[in-house]
This record gives sequence, C-alpha cells and structure tokens, in this order.
Amino acid sequence: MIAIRIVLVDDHALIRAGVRSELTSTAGDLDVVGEAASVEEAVDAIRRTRPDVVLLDVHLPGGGGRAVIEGVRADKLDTRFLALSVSDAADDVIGVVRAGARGYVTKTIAAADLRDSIVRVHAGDAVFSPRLAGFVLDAFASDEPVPIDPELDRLTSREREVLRLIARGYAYKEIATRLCLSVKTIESHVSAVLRKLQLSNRHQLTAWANERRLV
Amino acid sequence: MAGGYADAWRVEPTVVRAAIGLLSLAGGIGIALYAVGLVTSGPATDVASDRPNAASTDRNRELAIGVGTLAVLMAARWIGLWPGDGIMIPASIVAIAVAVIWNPDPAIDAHGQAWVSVATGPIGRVLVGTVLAIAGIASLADRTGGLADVGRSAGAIAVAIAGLVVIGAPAFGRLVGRLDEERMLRVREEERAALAAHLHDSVLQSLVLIQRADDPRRMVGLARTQERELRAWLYGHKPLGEPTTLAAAVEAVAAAIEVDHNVRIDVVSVGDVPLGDTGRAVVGAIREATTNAARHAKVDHVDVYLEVEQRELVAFVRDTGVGFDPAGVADDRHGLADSIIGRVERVGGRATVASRTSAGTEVEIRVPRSSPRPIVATS
Repeated sequence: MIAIRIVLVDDHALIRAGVRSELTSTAGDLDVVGEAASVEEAVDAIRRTRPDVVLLDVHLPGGGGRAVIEGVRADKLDTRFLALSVSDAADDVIGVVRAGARGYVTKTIAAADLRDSIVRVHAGDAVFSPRLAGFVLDAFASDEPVPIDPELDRLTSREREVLRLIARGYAYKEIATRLCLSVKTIESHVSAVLRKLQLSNRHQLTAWANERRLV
Repeated sequence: MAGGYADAWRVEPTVVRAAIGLLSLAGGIGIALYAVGLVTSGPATDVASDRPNAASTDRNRELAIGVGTLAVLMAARWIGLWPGDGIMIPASIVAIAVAVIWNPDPAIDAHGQAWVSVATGPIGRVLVGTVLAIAGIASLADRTGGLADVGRSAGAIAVAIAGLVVIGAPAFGRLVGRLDEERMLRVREEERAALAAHLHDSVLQSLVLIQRADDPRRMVGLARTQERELRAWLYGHKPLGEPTTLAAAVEAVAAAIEVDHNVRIDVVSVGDVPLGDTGRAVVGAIREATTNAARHAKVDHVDVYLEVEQRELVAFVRDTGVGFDPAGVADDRHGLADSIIGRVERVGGRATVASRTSAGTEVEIRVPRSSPRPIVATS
C-alpha cells in the first residue's frame, strides 16, 4: 500500500512535532512530506509536494486555514483538507469547512482516531468530530421556516439521527450497528451533510453564521 | 499644581482650578491650598505619553504669578481698597472663565497657537468657561448698569459668540474627531488591561503551578482546566462568575468533574436556554451521571451531549468503559436511583440507563421544557 502523503500546517512547531510523531510512530502508511507555519508557507508547500491530505490549523498567521484552501484552489489539486484545531469558535470551524475542508477534529483527538480520520478523508469521506456534529445540528436547527432549496437546506431525519449519535460520542461503526446500517451508508450520510454544509445558502445557516461573525 | 490635586483625587484639573479660585474669594483658604499644592505636587506629566512635561516649569511660574495676584487682591480687600464684592466677584468669575477657556493643553496641542488651543481643548472646558463668562458678565451688568442694559449687552454678546462660532467651527469639528479617537484609544487600552489582568490571574498562575507540580496527572489536570477556562473566556461561552444558561452550567459542571477525577469530559451542546429549575435538575442529573462514569467506568474520557429541542431538554452522558448490569444494581445504590432518575422525574422528565458489561454506559435524560409538572407516567 502506498503511504498517504501529508502536509502539516500549524503555526506552533511543538504541535507539528507532536502530530508528526503520532502519525509516523506506527506502521508506515502515513508519510509526512512537509510542514508549514503560515498561509504563505502552506500554499508553497502544498504546490511543491502535492500531498494527499493536509492537516490544517484553523488559526494561522496570514489569513487562517480558509486562506490556505482558497490559495491553492486554482491549482486544482487532488489534495484533501482536514481541519485540526484547538479552536472552539464555531465561525472559524464552519468557515474552514465551507471553504472546502472535508472535516474537523480537535487537537485533543486520540492518535489512533487522528490516523483513522486521515485515512477516511483520503478515501474521500467526511470526518465529523462530536463538536462539528454539534455545530451543524445547531446551524441546521429544525425549526426553520420555508427552505429556499429543500434538497440542500434541510437535513433528513436520518442525517440528523447520525449527527446526534456522532455528537454523543459514537464511532461510525457503533452508529452502523445501532441503526442496523453499513458503515458505508453512515459515511454517505455524513458526506451528504458535509455537502449541504458547504453548498447550502439557507437563510438559517446564514443568520447562524452571521451571529457568530462568519462572513 | 491643580493637576497635582486632580491626579491625587482623580478629578479634572479644571474642577480643582475653579474650586481653588472660589475658595480664595471666600477668605483665602484657596491660597493656602495653592501654596501647599505647589510644594507637594511633582512635575506635571503628559498623560498621553507618560513623559515629564517640559512646560511644567513655565506653568509653575505662571501659578506663582496667580497666587501672588490673589494674595494682593485679598490684602486689598482686607485693608479696604476694594470697589465692592458686587463688582469684584463677577469680575473674578469672568477672569477664571477666560483662564479656563484659554488654558493651553500641552497633551493635545503641542504647537501652542492660542486659537487652535481654544478649538482643540476639551469641549467641556470651553462650555464651562463660556457659561461662567456669561454668568459673570450678566451679574456684573446687573450690579453696575441695572438689568435694562442687559438686553443691549446680550445682543452684542450674541453677535460676538456667533462670530466665534463661525471662526471656530472647522476647528471644533476636528476637536470632535480628535475626542472620538481618544475615546477609542482609551477603550482599547482598557480592553488590553482587562485581558492582561485575566491572563495574569488565570494562565500565568496555572503555568507557574504546572512547573511546580510533581505529579504528571496533576499537571494534565491543571493544563486541562486552564485550557477550558481560557477557551470559555476567549470564545465567550460563559461570562465570568455563576453560569446563567443551561449549556454554560453543564460546561462548568464538566470542568469541575475533570479536575476531581482526571478524566477528560467533552461537552457538545446544541442550542441553549436560560437556567431555570428544570434546567438545574438536568444539570444535577448530568453531574451525577458524569461523576459515576468518571469514577467507575475506568475510561479517560466521557462524552456529554446536550440538546435543547422544541419541547424537551435532552442530554446524554456516555462512556465506553467497563459497564455494568443494570438489573444487578442493589437498591442501596442511591447514585442512580435518587440522584439521576428521581431528580429528573421530579421535574416531569425521565432518565434511562443503558449499560452492558464491558460495553460502556449511556444515561439518557429527557425533561419537558415547560416549568415543573407532577410526575408523568411514561412508558
């Protein structure tokens, strides 16, 4: 199996060193090919190394994680982004996800879970931490009036159910068992939620984002 | 000198100047105050830059002249060379008014152009000075020529003031802008000070404690507590002090349990409501369930999920620990029966505990959002 090539973007060298050792301490299916401490360095490193996955800090000097994703968008790379942050601010997190990150995990995540998340993102799936699931449930609160685009602006009850279980701390496998579905189906539900989160312009989401100072 | 008193008492120098002026007229007390002040106050400082003000020596000389003048006046009154209080008091007021208006403020105007000084001095001083001047002149006119002349005089004064307004308007506009700028700077400075104070009380103290801690578990606990507190403060989840909303109260409870049991507790909340009796019952039940998990489940982290739904408050406390057989729980285990289930049922809700040996435990709490009701039978 070819190793997944990773670029770490975080302005704290200690965090980068810690994450790097966590990722590479076990069997070598993960390969850290670059590090960056700012938006500029990150864009440069991504263009140079063309990694599979970028672990992206939400807060960065020079514009934040969002600026990195936007900075390499024109290059049309296959690179996938996973936001990794200590930030709790909903607007920052949702901002990076809406810019194109395929998931968000907090830095307190266990090493094994982080490795698992990278593999998942690399495979094209979405990765929702309990906190991100909570943010999304909050943003897509059910008591909304008339949606502009019903397909994009509303979560199905199954999607809501899956998000709630994620927020309660269940792993995908446990959710699958509980709902008598396959893990693949759970993943497709989460990916659908990610798509809605990125594409929906629903009034409620905009208002929710504005309230939290998200453009 | 007035600035010296003003700094000591934290009032405007203008106030001090006026007070001393009046006290002097009332019998020389002000002169004594002036003398004491001249001796005791240090060099005036430029507030904006914290530099000693180069003009302070000049100002002290001016003050000495002022004190001398007052002393001469008092002496003249004492020995009878005095046209009468009716003239001299209004005249003094006018003099003070002029001094108040035209007093150059080096912190604001370093160029010393008199008319610019008028325009760039604080608005309040100009207003106070103007009012004083008008009052003084009116009272002087009343004493000397009778009120009949006042009408004519007032007309002349009005024309003069109108002229001043025309001349001073652009400079006055700049003054307003300058004041806004100053206010913003002050607000920013206050924010910075508040931030510094908070970081000092919390983060710095914790960092010092962590360096002194021998036990790694204690270090992790301290760091985690501090992280949670700083996060809450930065992202505005809770104001300092007692939590007033449900989500904030659950966060606070989680933080306390983390400290006591060295277990990480991840709280995710969706929606929030002000903390009422119902909410307090939910918080209490969450506390018991989380403490149980932290104490018995043998895990390093517990997930707490809280959602405010339209009709219900819903909470889940979940661990992936050793679990237990709910059927085998003895009746004397008050933790589950009273603290969780009983507490929730008293506000009309229900709590269920799902657990299997070695598969973890999850406590589900559901409480109707309306105020407490009699216990509802649920199936």
